[in-house]
Amino acid sequence: MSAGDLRAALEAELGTDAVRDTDEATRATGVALLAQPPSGDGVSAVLRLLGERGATALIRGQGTQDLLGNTMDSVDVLLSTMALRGVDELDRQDGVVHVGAGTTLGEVAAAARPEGWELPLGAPAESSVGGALSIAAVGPRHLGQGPPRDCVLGLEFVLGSSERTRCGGRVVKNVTGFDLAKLYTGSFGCLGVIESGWLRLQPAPEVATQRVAMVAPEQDPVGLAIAVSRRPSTRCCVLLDDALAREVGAAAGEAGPDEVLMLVEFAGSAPGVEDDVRWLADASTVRELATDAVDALATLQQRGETAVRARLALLPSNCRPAVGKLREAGAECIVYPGVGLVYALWPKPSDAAVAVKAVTDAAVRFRADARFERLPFEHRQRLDVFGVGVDLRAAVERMRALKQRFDPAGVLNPGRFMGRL
Amino acid sequence: MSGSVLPPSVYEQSLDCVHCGLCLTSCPTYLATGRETSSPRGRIYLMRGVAEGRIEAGPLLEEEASLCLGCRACETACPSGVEYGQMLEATREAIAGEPGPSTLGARFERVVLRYLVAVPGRLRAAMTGLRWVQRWGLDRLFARLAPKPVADAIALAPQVPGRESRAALPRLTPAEGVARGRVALFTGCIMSESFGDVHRATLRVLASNGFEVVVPPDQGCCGALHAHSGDGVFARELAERNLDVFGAEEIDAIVVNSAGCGAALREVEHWLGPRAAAFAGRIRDVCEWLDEVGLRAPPNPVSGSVCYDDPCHLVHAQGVAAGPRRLLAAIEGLEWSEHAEASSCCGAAGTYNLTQPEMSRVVLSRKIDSLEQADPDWIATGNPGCMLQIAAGVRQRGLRARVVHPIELLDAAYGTGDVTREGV
Amino acid sequence: MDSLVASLKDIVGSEYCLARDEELFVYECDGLTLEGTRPLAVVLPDTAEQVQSVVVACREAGVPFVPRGAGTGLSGGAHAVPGSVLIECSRMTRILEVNVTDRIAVVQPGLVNAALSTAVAPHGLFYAPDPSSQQACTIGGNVAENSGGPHTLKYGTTTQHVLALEMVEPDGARVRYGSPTGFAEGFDLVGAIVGSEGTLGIVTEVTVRLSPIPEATETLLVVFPDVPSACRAVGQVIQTGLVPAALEIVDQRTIAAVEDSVYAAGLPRDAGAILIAELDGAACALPPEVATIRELSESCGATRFQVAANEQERSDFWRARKGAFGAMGRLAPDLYVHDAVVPRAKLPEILAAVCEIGDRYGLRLSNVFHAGDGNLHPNISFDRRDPDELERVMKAGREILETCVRAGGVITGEHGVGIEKRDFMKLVYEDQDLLPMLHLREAFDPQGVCNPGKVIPQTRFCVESNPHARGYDRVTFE
Repeated sequence: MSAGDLRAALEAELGTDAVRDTDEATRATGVALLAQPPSGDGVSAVLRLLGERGATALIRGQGTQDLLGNTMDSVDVLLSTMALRGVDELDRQDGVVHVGAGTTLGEVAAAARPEGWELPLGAPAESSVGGALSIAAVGPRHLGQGPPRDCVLGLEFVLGSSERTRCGGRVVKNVTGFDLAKLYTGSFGCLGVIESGWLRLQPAPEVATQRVAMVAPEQDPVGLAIAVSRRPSTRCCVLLDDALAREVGAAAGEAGPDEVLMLVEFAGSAPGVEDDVRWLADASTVRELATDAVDALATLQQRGETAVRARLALLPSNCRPAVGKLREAGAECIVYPGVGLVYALWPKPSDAAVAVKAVTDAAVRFRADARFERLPFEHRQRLDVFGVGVDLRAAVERMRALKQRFDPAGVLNPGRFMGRL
Repeated sequence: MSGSVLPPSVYEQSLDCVHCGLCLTSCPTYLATGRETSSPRGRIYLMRGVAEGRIEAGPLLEEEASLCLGCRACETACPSGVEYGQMLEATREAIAGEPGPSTLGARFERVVLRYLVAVPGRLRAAMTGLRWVQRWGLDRLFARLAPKPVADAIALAPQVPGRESRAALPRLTPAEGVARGRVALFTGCIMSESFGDVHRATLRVLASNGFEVVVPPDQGCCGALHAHSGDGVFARELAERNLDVFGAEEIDAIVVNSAGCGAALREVEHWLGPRAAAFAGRIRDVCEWLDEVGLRAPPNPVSGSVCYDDPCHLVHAQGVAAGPRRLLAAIEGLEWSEHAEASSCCGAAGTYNLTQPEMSRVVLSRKIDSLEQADPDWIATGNPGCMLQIAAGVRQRGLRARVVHPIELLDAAYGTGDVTREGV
Repeated sequence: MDSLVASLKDIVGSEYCLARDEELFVYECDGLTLEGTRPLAVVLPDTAEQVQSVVVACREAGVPFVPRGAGTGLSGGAHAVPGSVLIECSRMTRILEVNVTDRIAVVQPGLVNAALSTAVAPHGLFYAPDPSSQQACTIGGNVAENSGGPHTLKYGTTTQHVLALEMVEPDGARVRYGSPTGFAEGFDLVGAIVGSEGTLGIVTEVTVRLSPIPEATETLLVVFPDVPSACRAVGQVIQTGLVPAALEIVDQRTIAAVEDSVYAAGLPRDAGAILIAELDGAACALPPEVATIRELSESCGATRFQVAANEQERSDFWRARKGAFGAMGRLAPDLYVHDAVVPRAKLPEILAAVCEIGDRYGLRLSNVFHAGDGNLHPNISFDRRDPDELERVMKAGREILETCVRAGGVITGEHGVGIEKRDFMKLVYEDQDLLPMLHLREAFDPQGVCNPGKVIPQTRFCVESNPHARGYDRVTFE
């Protein structure tokens, strides 16, 4: 079946407005044709159509994470969720909101903030809700926000086999049937397409303030960071190498040899924040920050230009030795000891081979759950970027069993996720 | 066995159970086995099922009625107030009363309890005989030749104390200092024979606290052991006798230093009806009594550490737990600590350690593990059966602690007793 | 079947394989006692290896199996299905590892919930999900039901505390899912397994997240003239963005029952409703929060506001809530505990509707619930031996659930679907919505041998040809 036939079929289903060639921004995905259904029924129709024809689709929100995932075989259509957009209902009393998958996080924030609520998703403001949930996006404020799956109360979800379904609901406590929202969040678009959903908001904090401390090695930066992370109002606590600290505007003046910069954000009630700020000042020399370095860090961490970026999840007690090994291999590190996350960055493509080895070794040695978020193409082709260095065959087998049932025709994101599902 | 054998009271009481399961983790046999059938909730369910005719009564009810320790820890845990202790007793009585051959062991037990244990003169004679056997080492010889269960029973038997300890108690002990009242002492059976010194210590401490103590000589066994083994008829007879003997005395309270007896005496209304209310209302455990009236500060320090261990029939059946602890805390120099398994059963449960030796051992070891961790100088508990059982466990584990009745520590604190001697 | 029982006895020992009629009778139900089904046999394994061998033996005999913790569940999730083997985990009670630095613990599924918190308390830690049955229920059972409790308002339910688990699957394989780091790669299979009510396999080991015992705690007892005003206060507290550790409401009928029972704590009998609120966190942050709750309560008509002055008072306040279930049990031979959830803002009108339904059906209905989550527990005291009252109880139950769903709520917040609410799933979901649940089920249990007949009602998608599915879905709960 030719591309032309497929296009014609899609246009017949969705109307010509919703089907077009990919443009500059989206052509980088390698796909020529874009379909942007305006409704859940449209999504369902597209999936049915593709399934019947043995065609495949790459699901895309705003495309902020186009480079995330395994290299894929060629895909026929870019299925955009950007028309499934809008804040349908914000329940200011309950602190829950219903949004379309294509709504950006910025749009949700604009609706929620004036009512005193925030959406605790750690993805850039431009990203779509559906996208952020599909990759279970994690940002610098993960400590205060919690994992993305915790904020999903219910989803309208179109299965790969095209059925439109609902799971969960709008209430904050719910065990009515299996917790499918957990299965879908972080499933990288393998099982279906998020149409819309109910999300749980967090109260916007009374105050939020950022501090920076320079910590010498003998002061045990990792240990201090863990202690800071365990203070009640800490929303972000991260250790940054000098170069990275400069990039996010947190550094000032010369850092001492081997000194590490600790960036902290406290958020919450005024007395609680004050108490924690005082505690930190007692523990270390601290400088208040005028700029939002944490936001800058988010951008760097999720969209920054770098040849290699790996994310390793570890037990806090394994952070120090793992970071040591990664630094030895030439990585610049962003370390969240309280949460147990390390981002290791290598700026040059020629570092890739060393990086792959270092990350794999660290994963095995320190029992880390590791993935490559950025990796030059030729390296990405050769490995599974998810679950580096660990034998996850049993889990992959179950994932395959699920994939076969949810998307029997293999329409969605073929090969993108772990196990090249 | 048919369902109609269970009295209606058992069925009525089983309706109070909401099947919530909060009793499970307080039950020693459930903790030992993990089996619902060996839990209070399971036993109640079975009783209800048999009473309703939904299940044919088979051997399980009898097995579980025997396996249950009757510790009543489940009653303390139960949010609905199910009277499990009464249900168990009634079930055991119903089973014992069933026509048909009962086991040789059960018949032997009934004979021993009725015609030996309950008759003070005969019990004394038997214990004197046992003492001679022990002095000549014949018991150890017998133990080597006997089958294991019998050997175990022999191991549990205490060294019967000498004549002095078992001599008759004075009928009247005068109060010291300002007189605060007059009480009677209940002497029971086992305590007098195995721990006569505890009675003497009790008299001294009560006297030191300003109480005149009368010991009615015609009193008898409380009937607890009989009731627990299903011989409710005989238990009621014994209760009647005690009602008469103590009813005649002008006293503020009937003081009991054996928790098992105290519980049975307190609940005598269940056997004899409202006319026993006055009697039951005057029963006090000795520690409870001293705590209630206010202990006169004991003048002498006692140096060492003690763990208080709650007898089931004091903490669960009578609800007395804080009083004894307060008394021990009042003794200068005595370091009092709480061990993890203080209020769980020791496995003695009357004659249980003889009828269910294996489970008794399992239950005991949980307690001894906890006491080993705590490592105190003394283990104080207010029930003779528990004292014997814990002492056996202590001996077997090689712990250094001495098992005493709390009143003995008080006796030392008043300068009238000595707890540093070789203990039980 | 005799050969199966013989194999099971070989695996776990004859004292831990129960097959006598009387024994099976005792296991015929869990916390849901209105119905029961006797299993073919009950086994009590002691190790994961034994669990595996049991599952394989069942598989070879073509017999389904049902996992069970302490049997305290209220939706019948641990009821046997006809001809099944009940696998009881109550002997697997060990704590395998406590990692204080990283705040995780690895435990066996039969460990009692409260025992875990007790064990880690010396390290300044506790296990946050605290169902009211925590003195009896097991971690494995909590995983199956995604159990909640009063403190889930701030700390989250079980699913937010399970990092990894090991499961024996229906095909006999022993598989690990998740990671102690909390960032396992791949699908969130742990998240799918938690709350799957023992239908995907039998969990043999759980890795949980522990929480630090907070620096300070304040417990409040607030008296209101009626339940709706207490609910309004709760709604306002939520709206201000305050996140208390717990917000529980107890109504007048329940107070009376508690005060008549051993749990009597001196609560005012004339109170229309009592709100028990708990705040925890940094000591300096609590006073303004207490003040906020006081202000909001008084604006909603509170007549008394008390802050627990010491541990004794704190535990007295809580006794009222924790003893409620048992105290209700004394009022009548049977108690039906419902478990619906509605948006917090809807609580006042829904509570009024629930009471109206109770009155209209002439039932003794009382309310004690996790107001902070919008999770109601309307409790109905009745006597099942009266068939007319039983029928009214069932009808009222259905109407209550329908009312809650209409208000945007759901039919269960923490007790699960089991068999009890299986047919009510259709109040919330279309057949289409149940299809992915079937997919999940079949991906783990294609033969339908693991706790069949629970959770998912018959739909047009059910495969009639599955010999194990046939008949089990017919086990109805009336």
